[in-house]
Amino acid sequence: MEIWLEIRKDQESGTRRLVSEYGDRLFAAAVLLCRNDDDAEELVFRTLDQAVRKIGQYRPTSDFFNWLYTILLNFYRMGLRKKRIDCIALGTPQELPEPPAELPGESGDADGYASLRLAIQELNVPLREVVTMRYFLELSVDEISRKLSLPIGTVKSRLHKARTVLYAVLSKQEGD
Amino acid sequence: MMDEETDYLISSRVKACVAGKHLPATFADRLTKHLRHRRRMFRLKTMTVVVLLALVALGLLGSFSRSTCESDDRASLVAGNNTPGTEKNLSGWFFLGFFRECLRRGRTGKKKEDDPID
Repeated sequence: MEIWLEIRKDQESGTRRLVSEYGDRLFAAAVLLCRNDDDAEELVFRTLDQAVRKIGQYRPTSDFFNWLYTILLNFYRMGLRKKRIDCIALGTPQELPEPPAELPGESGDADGYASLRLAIQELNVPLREVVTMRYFLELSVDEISRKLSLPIGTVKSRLHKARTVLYAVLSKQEGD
Repeated sequence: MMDEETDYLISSRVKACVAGKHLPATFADRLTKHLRHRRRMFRLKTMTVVVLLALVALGLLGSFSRSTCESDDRASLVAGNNTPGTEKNLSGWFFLGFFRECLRRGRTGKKKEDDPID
């Protein structure tokens, strides 16, 4: 049975299946967008909660994971807007928190990707969005431009900037 | 390096970078518990709204029927036949007639028995 049908039929078992089939992939995308794992987990929680409640709005003509990712991206942007409003209200500078330092025993330099992960987290939000969609979800430039409602030229320009930064990090890593 | 080759390299590294990321084992339980709680709250709110609407409907019914019953009561008292529109009273009053009477008493400051009979 298709997952959206199962969720409509039996919400609890459908939800568990949703988490097991799509949870980790969604979490990985959220980790690339957010700067820490806790925020990413919370973002995925809100996304799946919304997806289950609004399952009636899903149209089987589109890819299910892409639909989930659209919800995730909307919540991510709402969260950013709220942070900016809070910063303005409190009169604090609009800076995003620093990404946490790698904890010992975590997959730091042991897997060699810590510097790449940090490089992605240090990109600004527009670049991080295109990086996630292009390199993790493997969407084409056209699809990214449609999803983000941006001209194709803008998407290409952002990809070019992100590519330059990330390639430099990877080259340095290879050199080391 | 060609853009496509760079893209391929970056893509494989980015995926490897988050390959070890998994949701905690308790995530599914937490989500289902949250959804269950939300459903329960929704049902509670719906029932509250239905009960309130029913009370309002009874109140309106009581007001309309009461005025009809009052004229019937007076007519029957004058005629001395003591046959009020009992059926209408029961259907109209229900228990809200009592509250209405209390409100009326509160406004005029006197009991119903004190009203003069014409």
